[in-house]
Amino acid sequence: MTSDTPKETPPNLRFPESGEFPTGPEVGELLPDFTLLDQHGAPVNFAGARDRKRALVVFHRSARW
Amino acid sequence: MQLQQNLETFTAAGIKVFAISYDPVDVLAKFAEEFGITFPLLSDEGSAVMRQYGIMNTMVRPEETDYYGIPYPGTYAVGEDGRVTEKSFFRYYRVRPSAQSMLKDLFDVEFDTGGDPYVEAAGEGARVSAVLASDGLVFMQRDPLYVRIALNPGLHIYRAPVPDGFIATEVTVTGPDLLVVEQPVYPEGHPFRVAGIPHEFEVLDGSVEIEVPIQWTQPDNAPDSATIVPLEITVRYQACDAQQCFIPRTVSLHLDVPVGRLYRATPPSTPPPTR
Repeated sequence: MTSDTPKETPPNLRFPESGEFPTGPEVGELLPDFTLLDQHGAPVNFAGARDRKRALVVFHRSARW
Repeated sequence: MQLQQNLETFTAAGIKVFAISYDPVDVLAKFAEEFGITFPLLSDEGSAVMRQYGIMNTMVRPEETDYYGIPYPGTYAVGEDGRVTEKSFFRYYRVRPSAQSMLKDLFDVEFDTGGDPYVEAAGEGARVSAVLASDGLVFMQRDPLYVRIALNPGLHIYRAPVPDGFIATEVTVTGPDLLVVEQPVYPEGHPFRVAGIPHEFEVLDGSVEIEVPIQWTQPDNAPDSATIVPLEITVRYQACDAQQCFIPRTVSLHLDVPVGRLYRATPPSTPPPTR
């Protein structure tokens, strides 16, 4: 599993310490609304499902790998 | 899985959780069933939302078919008004912040660390402790270690930079080679002035919490994979009151942290991009 072993771990640049890669909507901006299908195949509208509550929106690589 | 384990804490704090990836619905369905995920796993197949947000990882080329369309991994905290209140992104696609650190860093929600690896010791004028914000380390998961110096009433310690002759509070965490330790984050102090020194500097008092993010980089399927990661934590400080100072102390703590398993299906056939 050599390909899986990070030889050199890149620095974990965490916003706001870095402007080296895009991080999307800025603090203070509205998070653009979206409608996507969930794991049951049902459409989920962010604004509707959030229902004026606080929210955590996590973008991640894949559930498959 | 970690989000699911902490979902009740998010819900109790009035925070809805959404996860977005480029996976088709059937992959998400299988994943949700396998790991009992009850919050929405949303399918951004084709990466339209990631493109709209401008967070698709453009370092990955279209011919890298298994990887094309992944985002920079990151998290937005959204307030009741729908505006972004905090965000936290990483360049490297594997890195994930722990659920507990998101609660604390993004929403200021304290979480229960009972049961998490913890150690404490008595120091001069203070009680020094360290707790991992997770029940264990997981491959490429970034977990904060919180080092706390609980000072006796009336005492303070110094925050760098300090004038000559003063001891700045310093936390050092070391471990095996495969442990990545980031720079400690010290809280902001109060301005402090001493007769005979022309400029102000900062002191800390009360319960001082220093965050040290750590990350374990050994794949869980490595032949010699560790089950315990020993952490050596040293805390150097000098406690003073208005009249006098105790002698500088170095408190050493040892914390054995378990390594958890990363839940993961078979990796794709093509080699991963370097970033």
